[in-house]
Amino acid sequence: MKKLLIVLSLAILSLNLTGCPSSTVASTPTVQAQIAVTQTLNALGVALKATPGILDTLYTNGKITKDTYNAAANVYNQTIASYKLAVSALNTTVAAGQDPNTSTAYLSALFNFTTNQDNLNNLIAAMGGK
Amino acid sequence: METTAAVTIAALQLAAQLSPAAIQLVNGIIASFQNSGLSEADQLKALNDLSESLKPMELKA
Repeated sequence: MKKLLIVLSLAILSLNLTGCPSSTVASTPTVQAQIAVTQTLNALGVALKATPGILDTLYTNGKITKDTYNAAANVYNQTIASYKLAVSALNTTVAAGQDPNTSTAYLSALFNFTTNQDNLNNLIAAMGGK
Repeated sequence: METTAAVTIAALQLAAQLSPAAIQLVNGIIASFQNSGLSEADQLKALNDLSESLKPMELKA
């Protein structure tokens, strides 16, 4: 919960600091917030997509056992499932013209995703994957 | 926009607790989206395509 509050606070801070954008794309603080969240989720998704390759390399090189590989794969599968829910919640938020930083549904989905991702990152770090 | 990007990236780093190498990767990816010139609708479409492309890993027997 502390992490969620930090993210929310920083996201709100970003809106306060931004002012009028120079971009022709962003026209309102809500749209700017939607774009920032979209870009962030895009980046996280690209990083997430690299995980199976990391795990395969660790397993192929004998750094982890089959059981460890499967345990990590299960956490990865939970993580991408929660990622898809966060993306879905963002779609709903954007369609409704809402600021995702004030959407309970989106923030809840984001929190579930980051919790899973923390578990995944910690697991991979413990394997020597960092 | 730079301030927004910096703060958003800081929030991202806190949220994801990524390794330095991963943070660098994510920052680069965010910058590429910011410089892509894509409309918000196209960025959202790219996100949805990416989300759709993520498939569950198969367990080893």
